[in-house]
Amino acid sequence: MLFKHFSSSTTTAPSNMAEHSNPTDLFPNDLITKILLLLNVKSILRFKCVSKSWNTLISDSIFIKLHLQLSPQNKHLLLIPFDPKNNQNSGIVSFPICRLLENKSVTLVNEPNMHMKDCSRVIGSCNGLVCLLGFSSTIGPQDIWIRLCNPITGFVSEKLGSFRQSRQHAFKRLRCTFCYHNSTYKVVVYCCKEVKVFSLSENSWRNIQKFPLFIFNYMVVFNDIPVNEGVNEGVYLRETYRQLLPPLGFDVVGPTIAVLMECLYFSYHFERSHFVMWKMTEFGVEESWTQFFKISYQNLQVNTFGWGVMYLRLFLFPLCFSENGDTLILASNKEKQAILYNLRDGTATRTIVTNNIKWYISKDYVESFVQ
Amino acid sequence: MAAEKSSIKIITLIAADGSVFEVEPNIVKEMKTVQSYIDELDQNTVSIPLPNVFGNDLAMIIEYCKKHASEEETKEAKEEFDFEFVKRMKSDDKLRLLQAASYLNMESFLQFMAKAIAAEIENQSVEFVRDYFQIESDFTPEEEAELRKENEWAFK
Repeated sequence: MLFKHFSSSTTTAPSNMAEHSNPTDLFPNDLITKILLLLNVKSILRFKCVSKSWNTLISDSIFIKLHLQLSPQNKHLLLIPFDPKNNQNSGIVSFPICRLLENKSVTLVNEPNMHMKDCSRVIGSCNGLVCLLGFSSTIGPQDIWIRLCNPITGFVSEKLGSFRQSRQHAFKRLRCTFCYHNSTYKVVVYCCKEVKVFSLSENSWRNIQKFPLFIFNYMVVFNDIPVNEGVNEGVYLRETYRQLLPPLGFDVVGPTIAVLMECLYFSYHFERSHFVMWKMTEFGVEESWTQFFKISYQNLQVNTFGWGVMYLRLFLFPLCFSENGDTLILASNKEKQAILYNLRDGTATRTIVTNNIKWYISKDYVESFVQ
Repeated sequence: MAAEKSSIKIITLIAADGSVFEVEPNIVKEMKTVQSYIDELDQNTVSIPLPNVFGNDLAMIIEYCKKHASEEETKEAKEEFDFEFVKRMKSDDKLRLLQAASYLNMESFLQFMAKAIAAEIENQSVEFVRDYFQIESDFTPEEEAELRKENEWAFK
């Protein structure tokens, strides 16, 4: 059963002592749980093999939920390495943010990773579940579908919410987001001036008519540039839309929106010399926009070569904050490494990852056993 | 009531093997099991039997509580103490103390012991953990092989 731990039905408690088939295994389960919750996911998965009762304990919905509750203390990024040989994304890899900040060279080898099967885009992640989008490459109308997966447990769902789309409005033009709301997972898709929401619990799509083009319009303008779509999570929480004005009106260059640490951020380039980021301190209240920072390109050490040419233009995408909030991780469309901006001392460094990573499509992620 | 409670001067704890420990009230504050027992009484001296904790373990727990309740000790000294405290213990000592902490309902000491155990078993092999907890595998070789295959990356 999918996502069972979120159902409100009463779940059976982890195996109690009477069920123990192993006489030597008398150490109380609640204490084993306490210890397991302090371990990394790799060790936890490995220790499923200790005994049947440990396996039952770790697979139990209560354990999965407890583990998920602790996950914000252990933030990860979902990285998408690119394989130039086959000209495609080679999979998704989970990587701890704290290790990106260590200023050491990293090669992704033994991290939990997963092939994307028949999907080619990562929409986003929620509670450790990753949402993928796939499409058919046949002539004529295009079939589009969703899959959910968990790179930690290796779980992949069947195709969900398949629908058919005429080719001119097809795959590349879809803007999607993935969120957990009202006790179910939802995928929001914006396509040809229409928004539809897929609810996992209902296993069906619902259309939201007459969607204003406001925020999406400018995302469509930059259609060929991947735009961080996190804002949708906020906008669609109640499955009604809301128009949110950015802090300065529209005449800004390279605008991006992002939801970081549960706040909405809006960033853009200022006079070809600075990168500016605003924070909406209270969601939905336009008066609460405050300038978060303004960094010179010199400080960020970014190259602004080719500014006047659209396809050479620099885009910066805020990806996430470190756990202590001191470092902002940014992706640039012009660099092979992510930018680590230290908010405390105003210095910028780069990640050192030897794999070929498409940083601008990386996603915020927490490791969990949800499936 | 409050005045009577604070008038308790000495608390006597009696371990499973009969050994007796006399401690001041501030030492047992973290032992919620003991504290709730005391709270229900209104007498000057209390004697509390703890049939699930052995004398040696209780001595160690009291030593830990004394150190951590002390206002004179610096944070560094306490950390140093914690480090040495865990270092001299074998794995079964740790598991017994964890159970004692659970029985006495000592939240922070329980977390401290759980962390000490977690640090020892993290990234270790399945065999190491079985040995540590004295667990015999009840999987058939086929079942175990399949489970290992399912979670292949966790064994790299």
